[in-house]
Amino acid sequence: MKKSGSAIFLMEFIVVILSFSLSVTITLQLFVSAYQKGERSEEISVALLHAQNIAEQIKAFGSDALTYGGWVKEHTADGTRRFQLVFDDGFTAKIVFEKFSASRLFGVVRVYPPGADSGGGADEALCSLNLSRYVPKDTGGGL
Amino acid sequence: MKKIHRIDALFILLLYAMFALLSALSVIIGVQVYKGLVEDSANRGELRTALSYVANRFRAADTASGVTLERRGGVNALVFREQLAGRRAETLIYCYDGALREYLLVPDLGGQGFVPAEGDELVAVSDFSVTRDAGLYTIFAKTESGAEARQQVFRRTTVSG
Repeated sequence: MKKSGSAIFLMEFIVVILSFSLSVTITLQLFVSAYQKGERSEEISVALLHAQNIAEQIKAFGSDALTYGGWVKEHTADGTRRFQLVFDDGFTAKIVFEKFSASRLFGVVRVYPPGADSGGGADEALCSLNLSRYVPKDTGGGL
Repeated sequence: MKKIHRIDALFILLLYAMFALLSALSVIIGVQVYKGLVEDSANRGELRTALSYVANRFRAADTASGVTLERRGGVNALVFREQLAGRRAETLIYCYDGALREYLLVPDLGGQGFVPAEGDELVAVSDFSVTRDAGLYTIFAKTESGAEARQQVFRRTTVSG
């Protein structure tokens, strides 16, 4: 049985369209992925800037920096001192003073993206910055 | 029989048109996504690079009179003072005519004074300000597109001005 030329062309064209659909699906996924990575990169940059600013504030004012500017002190049973701040752009910063000696302030500042669970752990943080500051005994640290 | 052939041809033409349209759409979407990503990244990157530059100038000029906030030539400027090849030099960073600019002034060499419009353009900004709280300086910049960034720098040396 002999097939007409247009039927063969049609079949070939359908195969082309199917392969095209497949490639478009993959390409669109790549576009979405690129967009998401771009957004994530932007979030990390903003988070890093927030973390750097917090570090500079603590460098400038020590633990007094946490007594104003909207920082909320969290009470913990394990004796660590935790502070939390939600920025205007929705990012959340958390500072955990893990070690605290009479003359030094050791802590970690972590910044979380907008909408992140406020109880988020270190894994969910966009960036993490270690803090260390000499605190003369007389000034205490005030935590 | 001729009618069937005509429908066949029409269908193929329709498929071809669909193929062409989808190809064009995929290219257009791709270009827009890529353009958007590159533009956003460039805008934010430029702004942050400029802020980091200013912040590092602060750190480098951590001496008593290393940096002051002054009003010069009708604009608020950050004035960084340093010695260049034994000569007193001032670098002014300020916002003028929609751009953050830098102007190097070497008073010992004479020449014309500070002309805001002649500063080198660092980055296009719509707003730029520097505020001070004790030794903590807050540098703020905003672009026309609405992107803004704020960077803080602590200087150990207290200054006047």
